[in-house]
Amino acid sequence: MNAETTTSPEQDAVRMLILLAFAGQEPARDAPADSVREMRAESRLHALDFWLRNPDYLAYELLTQYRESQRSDLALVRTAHSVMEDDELELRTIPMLRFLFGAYEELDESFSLLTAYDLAYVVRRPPAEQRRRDFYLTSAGALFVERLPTRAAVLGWYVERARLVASVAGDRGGDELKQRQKQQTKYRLTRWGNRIGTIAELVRDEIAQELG
Amino acid sequence: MTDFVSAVAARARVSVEDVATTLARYGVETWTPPTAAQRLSLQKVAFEGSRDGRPIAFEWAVERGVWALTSEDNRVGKTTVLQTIRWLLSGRERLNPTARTMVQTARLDFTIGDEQCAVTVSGPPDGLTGTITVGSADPIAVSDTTFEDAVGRIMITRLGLERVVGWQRFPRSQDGQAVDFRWPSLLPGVFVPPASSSALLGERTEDAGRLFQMFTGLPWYSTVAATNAALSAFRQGERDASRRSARDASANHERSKELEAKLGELKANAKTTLDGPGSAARLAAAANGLEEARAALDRARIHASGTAADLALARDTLTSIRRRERDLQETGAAAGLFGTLQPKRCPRCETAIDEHRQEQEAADHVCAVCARPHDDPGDEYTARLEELGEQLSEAESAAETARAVARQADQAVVAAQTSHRDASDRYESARREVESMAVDSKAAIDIARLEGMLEEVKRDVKNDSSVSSGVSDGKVLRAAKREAEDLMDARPLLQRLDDALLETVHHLNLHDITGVRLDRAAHLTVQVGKTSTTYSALSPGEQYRIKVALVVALMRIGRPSRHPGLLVIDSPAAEEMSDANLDRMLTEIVTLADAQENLQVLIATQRSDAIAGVLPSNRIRHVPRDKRLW
Repeated sequence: MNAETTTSPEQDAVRMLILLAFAGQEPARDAPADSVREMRAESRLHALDFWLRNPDYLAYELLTQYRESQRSDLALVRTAHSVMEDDELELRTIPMLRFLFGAYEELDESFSLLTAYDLAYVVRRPPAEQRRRDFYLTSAGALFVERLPTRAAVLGWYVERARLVASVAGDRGGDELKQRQKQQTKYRLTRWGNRIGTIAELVRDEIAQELG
Repeated sequence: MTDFVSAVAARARVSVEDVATTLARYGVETWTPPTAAQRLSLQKVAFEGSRDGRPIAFEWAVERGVWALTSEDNRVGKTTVLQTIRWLLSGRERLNPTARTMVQTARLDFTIGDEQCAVTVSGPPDGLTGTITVGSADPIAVSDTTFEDAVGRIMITRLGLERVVGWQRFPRSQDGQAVDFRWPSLLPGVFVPPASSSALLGERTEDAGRLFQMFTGLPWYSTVAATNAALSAFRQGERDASRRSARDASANHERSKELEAKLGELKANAKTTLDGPGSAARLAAAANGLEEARAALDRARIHASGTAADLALARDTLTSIRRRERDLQETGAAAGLFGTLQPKRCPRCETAIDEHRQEQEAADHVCAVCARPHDDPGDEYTARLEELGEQLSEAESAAETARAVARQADQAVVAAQTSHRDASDRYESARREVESMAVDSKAAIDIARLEGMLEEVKRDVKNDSSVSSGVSDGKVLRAAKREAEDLMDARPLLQRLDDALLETVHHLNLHDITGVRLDRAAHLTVQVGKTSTTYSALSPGEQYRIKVALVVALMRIGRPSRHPGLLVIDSPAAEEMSDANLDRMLTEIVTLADAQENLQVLIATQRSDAIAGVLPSNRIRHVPRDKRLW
């Protein structure tokens, strides 16, 4: 179990796998063989994991998109509302640490586990590519994720939530997503090394205002 | 103190001091015998001016005795000469306006006793200047505004006449004012009024009595006149006080009505008097209750805050346990899923695990990575799950309990808020009750104040200005008047005058008159045969002769008569009078003048023949027909 979070490497690994499966993109030509999904640079992975682990911030993003749509897409605010009304909101909130570039989680251990079972690969690119770490989902990993809801119902929540997170994130890169997340004052003012605090009350108030 | 004051005090039965104070206040002086009367004797009258651009000048020198201005025609200027004399003697000009415009300067030389006097004036009426010379004293400069006063003071003083105060009523009124009878008002005693005047002496009947008493020299006359004036002033003061009282009563009545209305309004609006002590006690109790409710609310809030914190902790604990449980479940599920897979690589270096080790793991159930036998984590996992389940159960129970306690605490807060609100309402009600008590207290004070004002207004305030030192002024003045009248003892002197008058009347051919009786007020009763009649009942001719006779009689009786010894008669024959009667009158006048050393008579008449019969020509200034005197 990760000493700085309450999650175990197995949980982290499953979460990363699910995010790769739903939020990854078509692998490029330089992807390793048997790659079915890729996510270039871990910044996007961290940003997606942040929304997966912080439903209040995810709901705030939905609210922001609703307002940016000139309040035309009511589904966004309703989805935000349902996210916040989840009985397991606190249970599903796993605060992340704030570091230099934003929310951060050590991924080596979880990806070691995934790599050991050929479920996912991590490729560190050369200096010319800023030593970027690219993440790849294998076909075995995709199958693992596909069977997850039936074989481990307790992990099915992550599948549904990852699907929503992927939809909210769209194709935006990790930096863009992090900049978006940093617009939230609580996130932005969190000191490095501290866990990013909740904005649940704020979000509930704003959703209440929008819904009247 | 004079005997007069003492006598008045005895008569009025008051103190001498009160009498002295009252008489002083009203200006009533005790009579003192005047100095000897001085005679007035004209010497020369002269004036200059212009008529139609041509200069005019007149001068007439006279001496003691009888002098006459006569003319054939009328309106030749005789009256102007006599009016000029009167003007210069009185300071009050009464010339015919046309004649006045012609006269630019005028002068009168005369003597008062042995003193040589002269009055000179010049200029128009509104720009008059002049001088008065008396003896060797420096001339007194006069102007149109000072001439009358200056002449009057000199004449009164030099002739030894008493200051006389009278009362002059306003037209058509009971009220009047005190007046000092000045010299001009005494001159009618010198200038015999025309036959048209019904006054025995002077020009007005109301002045006859005063002139008579003054020229007769009746003692105590001035005091009697002063007390009469004082009584009139006193009565007027009473009337004024009565009028003021009536006005005040009316004002007080209005004010009383106004105050009663205000009082009624105040009383109607004043609230029912509340129980003062009870209200204060209720306020105190309400304040205590509010304080207790506030404290109870604070306690409830603190308790609720504590239970909320306990609930939050219980929830956090529950959440933590649930999270651990979830984590355990997810980890177990994930580990179980991973456990079904065969590792392909070393998790550390990612080196592929060869097929031999993979087959060995499958056959021997040993880990292809570390070669250890597979553990069945199931027991540990289950134990751990059970443990968490128990913890969870406890935590849920604790959270439920905390929730119930928090709910109760919240309810207690709500109850405490309600109690506090009720206590606040009670306090507010009690406070308003006490406030309205204060308002009522103010209203009570206002009511008491208005009642006091009303009582004062309704009280009669008599302001008897006639009371001085508790003594009625009227009582003192009436006593003073009676005392002075008694002291006047006019009858002996009046008898002498009656005798002199009767004798003179007979000399003037009024033989039908068998008796005359004068009173102090110059009312004349005439006995004609056996019939008594009044002066006013006589014919105008008879009246005129009696007027002249009275002045002659005043001259005859001598002391104490104070007549100045100058008589001016204008047109004595203006009234119907037979030549014989006129002759007799003129003869009587001349005879009297001859007998009286200091008598001077000036006569102006058109009856030059009658004058010529009694006066030598050098005493006659005659104007022939078609000629003017000036």
